[in-house]
Amino acid sequence: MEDLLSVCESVVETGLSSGADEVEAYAALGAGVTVEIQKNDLHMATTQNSEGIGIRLFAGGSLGFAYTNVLASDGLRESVGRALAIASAAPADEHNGLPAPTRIEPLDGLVDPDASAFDTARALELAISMLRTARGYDARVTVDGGGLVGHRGRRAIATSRGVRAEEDVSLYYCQIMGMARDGDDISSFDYQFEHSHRFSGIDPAGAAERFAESVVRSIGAVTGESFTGPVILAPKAAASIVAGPIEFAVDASRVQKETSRFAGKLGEAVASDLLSVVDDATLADGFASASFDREGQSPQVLPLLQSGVLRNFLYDTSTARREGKESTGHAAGGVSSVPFISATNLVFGAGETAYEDMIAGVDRGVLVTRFSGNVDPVSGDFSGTVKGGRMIRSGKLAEPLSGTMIAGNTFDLLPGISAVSRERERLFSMLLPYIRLDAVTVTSG
Amino acid sequence: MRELLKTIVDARDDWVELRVHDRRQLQIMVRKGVVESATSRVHGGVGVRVLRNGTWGFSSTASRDRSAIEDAIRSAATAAELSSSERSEKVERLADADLAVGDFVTRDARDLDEHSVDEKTSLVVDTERTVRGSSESMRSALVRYVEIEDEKWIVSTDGADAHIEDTKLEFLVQAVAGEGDDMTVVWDGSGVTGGWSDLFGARSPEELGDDAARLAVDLLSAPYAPGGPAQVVMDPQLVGLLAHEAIGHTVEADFVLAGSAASGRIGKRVGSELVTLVDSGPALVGAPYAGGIVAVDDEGVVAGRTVVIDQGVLASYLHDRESAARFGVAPTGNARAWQYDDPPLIRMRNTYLEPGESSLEEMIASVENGFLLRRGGSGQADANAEFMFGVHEAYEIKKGKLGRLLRGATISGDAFDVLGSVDMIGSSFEWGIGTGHCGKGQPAKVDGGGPHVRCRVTIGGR
Repeated sequence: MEDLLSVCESVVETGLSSGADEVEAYAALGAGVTVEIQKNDLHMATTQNSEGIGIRLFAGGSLGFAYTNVLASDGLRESVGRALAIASAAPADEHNGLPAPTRIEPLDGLVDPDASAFDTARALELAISMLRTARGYDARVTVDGGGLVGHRGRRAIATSRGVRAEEDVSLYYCQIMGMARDGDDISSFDYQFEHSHRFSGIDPAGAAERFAESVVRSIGAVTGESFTGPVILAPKAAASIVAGPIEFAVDASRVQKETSRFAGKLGEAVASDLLSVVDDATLADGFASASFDREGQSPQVLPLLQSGVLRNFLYDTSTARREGKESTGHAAGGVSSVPFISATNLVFGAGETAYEDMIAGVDRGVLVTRFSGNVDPVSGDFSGTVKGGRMIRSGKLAEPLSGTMIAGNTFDLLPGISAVSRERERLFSMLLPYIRLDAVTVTSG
Repeated sequence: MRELLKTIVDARDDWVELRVHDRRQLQIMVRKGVVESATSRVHGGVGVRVLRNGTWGFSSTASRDRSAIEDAIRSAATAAELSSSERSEKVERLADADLAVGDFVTRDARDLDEHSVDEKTSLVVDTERTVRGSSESMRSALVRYVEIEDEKWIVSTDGADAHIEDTKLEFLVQAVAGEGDDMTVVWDGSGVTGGWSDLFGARSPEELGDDAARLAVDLLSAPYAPGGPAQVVMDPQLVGLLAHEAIGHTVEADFVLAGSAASGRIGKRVGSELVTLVDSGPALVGAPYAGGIVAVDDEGVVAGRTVVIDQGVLASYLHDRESAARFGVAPTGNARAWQYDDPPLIRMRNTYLEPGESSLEEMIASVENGFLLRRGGSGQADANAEFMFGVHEAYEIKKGKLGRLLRGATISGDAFDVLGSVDMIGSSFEWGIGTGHCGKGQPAKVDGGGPHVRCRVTIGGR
């Protein structure tokens, strides 16, 4: 592979000698295979090769950014020129600037030593096995879409303040989605997703089985009852209703823009003491794990909620500088845009209640497998449909539900979380338990 | 470039399509006085599709060297070869098409060169400052300028041989007003195909900023719209949103094959006789700078005028060459890819209702008890044609007279039921949804519009 770090370093040189005060060059290159499934059939296999560099510079306190997907030297020189032209037009901002270097420890396990053995043929094999397993589970299962992706690449960063880092990464993931159809009875839609940094670490056939089992289980759904009572959010539903608004509100740029409900609440209890959430960019085989963030800062394990108490916000350099603080290492984004803030791997702490006991503890409530609707992360209001839901009666899972809606406000409900499961599931870059909320409005019919 | 591509393609046995696509993009965005984005992007390369054994393979490269392109072809061919034994439903053939040969320019945009990066940046900064400072009630503002310049060469085994140039511009304003805990958000803007004078052809940047700011403040004191079924007059922007979002996706052939609400309904009535819904490559009605103009699609098919609904009867789906062959019709020029490294998908272009005979005054005067609805916001639409959109501005109509401004209205329903209820169609026409982009796995620049229409919808209020 190309010496990406040298390319970044030479762009920094060019930027400085052309008149910029500070220059950051962030580059990536890679190759991958994607196999797409559509309508119960193989759709298309695609191979990609890509490379690109994002050049962020400050001149006279003003920002300019240029991206190009060709790493040849005359294109790079031209890109530096474009970034400078923009910087000279943009107004200055005293908070503009690049961070100082931090110590980077390479994170293990981000690249598969056998990555070169993963080729189009292997990707097709795994995708087909996933499709066949789902369809073979039950004749009523129909796979609307899905696929498998394998990608291997390198990322590198160099800045005029001395940041220097590079790492190789490989990532493999598969996804399958669809429903079950029994005559006119169409089940809820569901999906499964798996990822790993090693291709032996994903189990497409296992994902297919879980998907098939889930959709078949929600055939024969009936309209439920309307009441106010406890709901148990399965991990996918917890992702939408609980994790989404929390992730939004801990973003310091939103606190600064006055759109975060957590503004001014550091050190206060914002949720029940059963809830703890950590952002962990070092998580083993985490989807978003990396040795350095988009600005080349070292990753950390950052407590966000500790037994319900708000502990930290997420910062990149630009938001941190507005408050005279340091970045928390949450600059994100690729080569084609300026950095923005993002959580990395959002890890919810395991609770104390076994999932079985959570169900057993509900006299009349709803298990929400997935949620489809609106969640306003600013206000926390949510309202939408329960997908793949089950009624819970006298501590047992009962009939599958259709036409059932739930509504509430996440931030108002967080302090009342009455149970968190020991069991957790990986979902994209999150690790989520089952969460019990009391007093949720359930509307059916 | 075309010569090189033809040489490469002619040397192959498979069906091969090469699409060289160079894109230059500029984006300046200022929010609440802070430059959030000041970005120039250059992204270009060659996208390669191979059809072998009735199966597609796709690959791409950033290089224009013959050897790199041939490597990409081999890679795509291998992908097709390996997949073919597993793919059940083969691509029997691609429909014959009016394949483009020659040079195409969607719209002359050369006046863009007369405006420097400095000028564009200052315009964004100044407009944002003006909007934000226009009233004590303004909380924040956002202004975004986007410029997308594309140059493509498309050459295929069976005769596409085209060079295409296209420019799409956008100027977007968001105004946020507030009083205590109460907040209103208004979006307005212009999205066009063409140059600087097209971008500000209908309204100047000052007018765009002013319109957004004034409405945001006015809405603060507007009462909430009541809910329930209602007779309404919808403005062109809302009509365009409905045509694109609620109807348009259901007639994209890939969604039809997956079981959308339009499936099996060709030849059936899906709207009143007043409704003719068109998806077109060129801008054939209204302003010539519609934001979704396509001269030649990304399969090299000349993009024309497709009548989707003809006087209320469903007449055509939107196709690429593969789906057209499957349905036994001619391709409609709807295959579009966002960038060189994306394979083409069926996408809309300019989607609209044809104008009719009635004036807006007539239409309002004819409503005993209803609403005038202007400008749709975000919402959702399903493959079964059910939709729900936010409406920016609603006005009561009582006994044929326009009344108070109302806020917080949403409209929902079954899009085909709404088309069935259309009983008056306006005579003037406007485009209205050219800002932003349509999403379907990849972005696409589109537009939509129409005349005012009188119809029935369910209003969601408070």
